[in-house]
Amino acid sequence: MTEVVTQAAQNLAKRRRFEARRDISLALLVPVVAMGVWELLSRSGELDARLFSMPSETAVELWNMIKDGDLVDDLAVTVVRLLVGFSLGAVVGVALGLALGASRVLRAALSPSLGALYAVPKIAFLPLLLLLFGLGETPLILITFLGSFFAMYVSTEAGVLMLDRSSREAGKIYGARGWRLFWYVLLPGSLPGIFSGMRIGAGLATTAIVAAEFVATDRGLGALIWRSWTLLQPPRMFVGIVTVAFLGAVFMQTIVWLERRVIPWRSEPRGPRARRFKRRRSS
Amino acid sequence: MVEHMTQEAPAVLAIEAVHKIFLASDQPVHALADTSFEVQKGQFVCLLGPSGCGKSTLLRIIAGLESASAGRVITRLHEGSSDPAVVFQDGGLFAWRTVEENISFGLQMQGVGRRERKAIAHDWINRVGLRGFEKAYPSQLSGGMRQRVALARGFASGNEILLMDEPFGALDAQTRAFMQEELLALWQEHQKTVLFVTHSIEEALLLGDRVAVMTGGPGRVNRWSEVPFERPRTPAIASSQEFVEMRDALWAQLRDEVVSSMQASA
Repeated sequence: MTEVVTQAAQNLAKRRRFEARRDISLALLVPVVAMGVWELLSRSGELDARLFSMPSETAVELWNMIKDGDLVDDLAVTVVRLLVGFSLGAVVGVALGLALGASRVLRAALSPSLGALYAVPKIAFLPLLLLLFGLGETPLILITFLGSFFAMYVSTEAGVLMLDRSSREAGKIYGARGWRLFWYVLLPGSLPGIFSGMRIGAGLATTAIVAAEFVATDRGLGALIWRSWTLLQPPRMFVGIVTVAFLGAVFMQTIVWLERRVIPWRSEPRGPRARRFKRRRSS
Repeated sequence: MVEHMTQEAPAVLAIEAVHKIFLASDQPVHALADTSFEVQKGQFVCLLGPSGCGKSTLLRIIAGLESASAGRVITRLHEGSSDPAVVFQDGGLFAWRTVEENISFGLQMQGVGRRERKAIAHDWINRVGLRGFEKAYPSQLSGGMRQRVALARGFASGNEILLMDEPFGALDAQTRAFMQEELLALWQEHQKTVLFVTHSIEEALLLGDRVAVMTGGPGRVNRWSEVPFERPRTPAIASSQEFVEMRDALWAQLRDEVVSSMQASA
């Protein structure tokens, strides 16, 4: 009897480890294979290597750009704009989302107008911002702010509104009124909504700053990509694109990591991470 | 409307001519009509009725979560006691708070210090058999365990009146029976005044000192029955002749009500 149990437990554990390894392998395998195919197609002449520079060529260019410091400069400039703009967007978006989620009057007054602005591509405001502030850091930071703010506002508001009625009522019943209801019930209850907004906002902020850097500055990853087009330097362009992808991924993972620290109660989706979480808890 | 009076009075809870009118797709619906009754201190009162008869609405009005369209609710509590505590059907636990933090929420709002809060919470965790789950979040608990936390939160908050809205309605039959026993034991020990809403005749007879049958359309409290079984009670009383007779009598009253409401909605 116990033998059956031990055997079954061992099999399950083995299966779990296998699945975890398989998930990671698959995640790495797909881009590696894709780049291998690309490399082969370029070398055999199927792809025009002058436009689609080979992955090996891009890698060499990446190494050179890191060595002479160009890439680090552009990356640092973009990161600063991104973080300042996104932080502004997070503070204003979350504050507005909480206020509108909690107050029907504010919702009635502001929701329709904000909803109309939500649909406008934020990059459309860039010419106006350039007109107002001239070339410089301000319009770039503001476009990042605008690009990420709406998603965080909408998601935070939804987080407050979706908080279940009985939690809200239990708060009132057990004596939380006014700001204490806000602080002890509404705010913690809407953290899942706030964080899903930040995840979406992180992607949108990255998109916004790179697009704005195409035209409104000569420094930053966007400017790097844009210059490579005008100077016909595809390898530099691909280095820029890869770096933006890398920056976006790191940014997103940072927020996911933060979310796990701040919201330990949230049941996580199935996957290798969910299992690790469970095992740690039961030990 | 909830008023507090400190003078000595026989009833801790008085419902006086309460009406409730809802708007359902622009049509006024008379959900509660001219409902009056009193609950004495330390009594366990059950409101029994089919779904939609207005019993939860009445409970929510007493809790202060909804206002009465007419009439009033008076609670006479000794000074320092707070508004009624409520145990919801789905627990109404805070997903972001651990078991310990959920149970001590009411105390925290009353300004009780951290150490004392923790001591009281741990005492209640032991009483409802959740030792070892102090730091667990509601999402990590079973339905029965969550309801035990909700009960402990209600009792621990120190409120004199407990309102319970089908607290065991969503549990499976075995867990439900077990929870009823636990509630009997807790009540026996603490003698809180309880208003308990249920649609289960057996539950009402097992737990209550008095049972009111409510009828719907518009909802009103129709008939009161005194439950004669001696305290402390155990679920064994359910097999007694007297219990069976009372159950059948209550079912006869409810049956007419269920049939007529089904015809009305058809």
